Amino acid sequence: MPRIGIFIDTLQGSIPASFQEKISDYVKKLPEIAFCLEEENLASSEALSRMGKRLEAGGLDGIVIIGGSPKLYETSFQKLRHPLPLNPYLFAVANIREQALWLMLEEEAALERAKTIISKTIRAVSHSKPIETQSLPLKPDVLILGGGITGISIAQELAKAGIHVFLVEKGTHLGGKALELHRFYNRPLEVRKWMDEKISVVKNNPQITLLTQTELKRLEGHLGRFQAKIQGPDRTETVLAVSAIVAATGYASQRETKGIYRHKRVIVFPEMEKLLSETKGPSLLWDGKKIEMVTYLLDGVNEDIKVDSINAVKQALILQEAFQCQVAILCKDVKVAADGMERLYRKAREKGVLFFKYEEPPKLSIVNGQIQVDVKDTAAIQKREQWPVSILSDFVVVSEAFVPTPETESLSGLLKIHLGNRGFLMEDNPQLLRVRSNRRGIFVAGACRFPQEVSESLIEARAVTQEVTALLSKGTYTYDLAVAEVDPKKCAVCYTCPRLCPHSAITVEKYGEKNVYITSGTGQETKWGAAKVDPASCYGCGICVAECPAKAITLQHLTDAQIYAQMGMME
Amino acid sequence: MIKAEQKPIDEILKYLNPYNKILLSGCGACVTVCHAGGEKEVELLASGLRMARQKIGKKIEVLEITPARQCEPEFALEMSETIEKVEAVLSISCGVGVQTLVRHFPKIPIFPGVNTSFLGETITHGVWEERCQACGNCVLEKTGGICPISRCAKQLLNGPCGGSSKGKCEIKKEADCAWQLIYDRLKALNQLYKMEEIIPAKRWGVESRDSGLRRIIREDLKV
Amino acid sequence: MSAFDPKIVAFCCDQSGYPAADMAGTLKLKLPKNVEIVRVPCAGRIETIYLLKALEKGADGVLVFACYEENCQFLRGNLRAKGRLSYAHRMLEKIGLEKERIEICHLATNSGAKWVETLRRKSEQLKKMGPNPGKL
Repeated sequence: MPRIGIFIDTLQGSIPASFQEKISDYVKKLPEIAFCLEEENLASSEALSRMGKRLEAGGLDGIVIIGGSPKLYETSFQKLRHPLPLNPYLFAVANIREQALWLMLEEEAALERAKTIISKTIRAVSHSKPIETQSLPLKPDVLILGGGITGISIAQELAKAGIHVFLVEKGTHLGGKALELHRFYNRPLEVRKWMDEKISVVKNNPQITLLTQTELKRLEGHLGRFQAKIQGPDRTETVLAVSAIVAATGYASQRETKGIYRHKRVIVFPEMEKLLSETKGPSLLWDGKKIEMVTYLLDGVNEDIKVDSINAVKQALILQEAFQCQVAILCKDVKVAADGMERLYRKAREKGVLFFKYEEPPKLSIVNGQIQVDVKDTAAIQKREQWPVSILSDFVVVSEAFVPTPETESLSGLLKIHLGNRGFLMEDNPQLLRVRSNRRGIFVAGACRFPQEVSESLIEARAVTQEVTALLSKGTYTYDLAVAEVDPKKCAVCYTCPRLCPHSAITVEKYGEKNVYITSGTGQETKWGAAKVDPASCYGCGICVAECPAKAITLQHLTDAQIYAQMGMME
Repeated sequence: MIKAEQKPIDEILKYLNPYNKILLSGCGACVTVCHAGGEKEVELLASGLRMARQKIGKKIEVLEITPARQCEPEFALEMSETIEKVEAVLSISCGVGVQTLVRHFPKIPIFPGVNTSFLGETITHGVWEERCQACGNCVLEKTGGICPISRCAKQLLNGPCGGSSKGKCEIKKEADCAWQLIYDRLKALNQLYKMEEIIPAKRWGVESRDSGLRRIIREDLKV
Repeated sequence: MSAFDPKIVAFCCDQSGYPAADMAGTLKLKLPKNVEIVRVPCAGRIETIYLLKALEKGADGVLVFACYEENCQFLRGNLRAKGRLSYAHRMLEKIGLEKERIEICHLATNSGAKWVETLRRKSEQLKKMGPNPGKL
């Protein structure tokens, strides 16, 4: 017979005294009850220390708190400086306030319901077992994939925090797509100079091991024990042992090459940037002639991305101010949702940049060696008219489609992280956990997640730095074993659980005796191949437990027996 | 591996009509992997049977067991004590498991709970496709590893039929033409010369299933 | 017909159903009698067998409260739960039980009213359907 201790929490009178007395009477008659104590506010520090003292006496198999929502008690337990002298998984909460007293019309029914909840909770906690905590040493070694602006910034910041970084770049030099920029839209620096400074800091930092012309070939292991096999320029392979990985591999651009888009006067943004950076002034010359009219054609592709909008306004201002050009920007929407963009847009209009808003895609044609752009402007005063506008341009600047790099798909397979919108790498939660991937210990930042402007990438770099230093600063990762565990004797190695685990925490491994997992390379005899859940990477969701066709997986803190007890069934 | 699918429960209920106490036996091997007959499926089917019989007022007691496999004599005999207590056995192992039990328990009715479908490969989770028909004389070396017996609807051995169109089969429009696959693969391996070797017609009546029940005897292994 | 309070087992996931139930309590909304709440970390933990066993062992109906699609904190738990429900439905149809006895409802933490409404509606529906003929 399990010995269960009861604490009744009246929650400062939320549970009226008369109700609480009837509950007390009922509880005290139950055979398993070792004691039944009443408190007015169990979540307070005084009450919790009284509870602690009572628990020290020992002799208990479990505790049931009869009161309000478990969330109340879970948060107050977390805030305790000294843990209570009983394993936290031997506590259960009978939520009789929110889910019985307040949900029932008559007190009679509420009492019945409360009694049912209490007896079910007592039965559920009788099946509970203490769950231990484990810790994993975390060495301050991080692998960053990608040497663009994001990768470089993260490497710099992590090195400052004393972490050793392997910066792996598949190309010959650092800088990535930011090298296409000449000027920032929001700071008066020249991109090249700014980048060169950052790159030389990275190259000269003893905490950063820079590996160019190197790619990731294989990844094994989990948080804290990743084994990353990389291949260098001379085809030699090395294995890096790292605690965490950051993917900052950037994006690619695809240019439209059909028909008129091949014309030499139809150019893309990087080409205009280059032209602007190479020309000293006072006018912009091309093919021996002065450029007077430049038209920007936005939102043909990348409709929901604001990078082109920002660059267009930035370049337009330079063209109008420094080179006396007339600029027209054609777009479906002017996207100014970036720091300082509203002011820049206003400035552009004041300087004479023309903005046309279209619904139907504009038409391009060649007229006397120039490009004529025909567009129906929808910002007409009489809404039902759309004024047709013809712009004879020296240059038409068009967007390149932003796409994931060709290696992104195979990278997602190597890292076992998900691909999201349009084939870019997916974050765990776009609002709250933007730089985490679905896998613990692997982070995703920068344009490989979504094409973005340099300032955003720098913010994400700082976010990753914060996450990684928080993770590695204590030198260990502590977790409790409230996770899934596979019984290797029952495992049919059907691969269902590795496929379905949303956090890629399960792999098929070699086992020796019973539940003892054999580390590869130790020469110990292996008897089974079976699935293994990495306890430090498991999120405890229970999907694998429910899918296993051989019922070989148990969720340690929520077993079948506990669920049946909650359903009110005797099994 | 053997792939199978559960029989519709209403069909199974018809078999079990005369019996009130049965053993539902699963299998921890092939049918577990294709989610048709493992311990999880045993639980589900048992629950469904009990509720169905409760509804018509004719309760049934279902004992549940899932041995690691059902196709070895030892596994079958391990169940003898339990089988003695019941009127019939419903086995959701493949046809082999059912018949192993039949051979060892001649007096008890043993019913199949799955349809054994084919020897197949996992394409992706939840999707399995036929790959082998156990013809007994494997020609995969000559066809770049693609089986014309299981994957060609006409089981042709020397090239496609006239109905092969844009890489698809004329019998089953969604299926790839096996010989197109064979050609593409041999080409990629630079082994197209193998297609010039004539594969003789299969001697179905002599070396394969049409000659009657097949048996493999390994004298060197016999105890 | 005498009043029968259908027994409903409500599986509530920690990220949607369970907080919604708490909220319903805070709003003092009234629940039909005979509802058993089972708390799970994610709807993905709910095995198909629990849905059937609930009916087998005395419930008249089962409701699964899960997050909206694409909102699962564990990415795909609610989708797996949907698949298991459709398996259970197929079996119920074949054995002659009404498949409406098992239902999934998508909601969020702020859906206290929807939580109670769904249970009330289910209770009314089950009253008309009558007790579960499959329960042992």
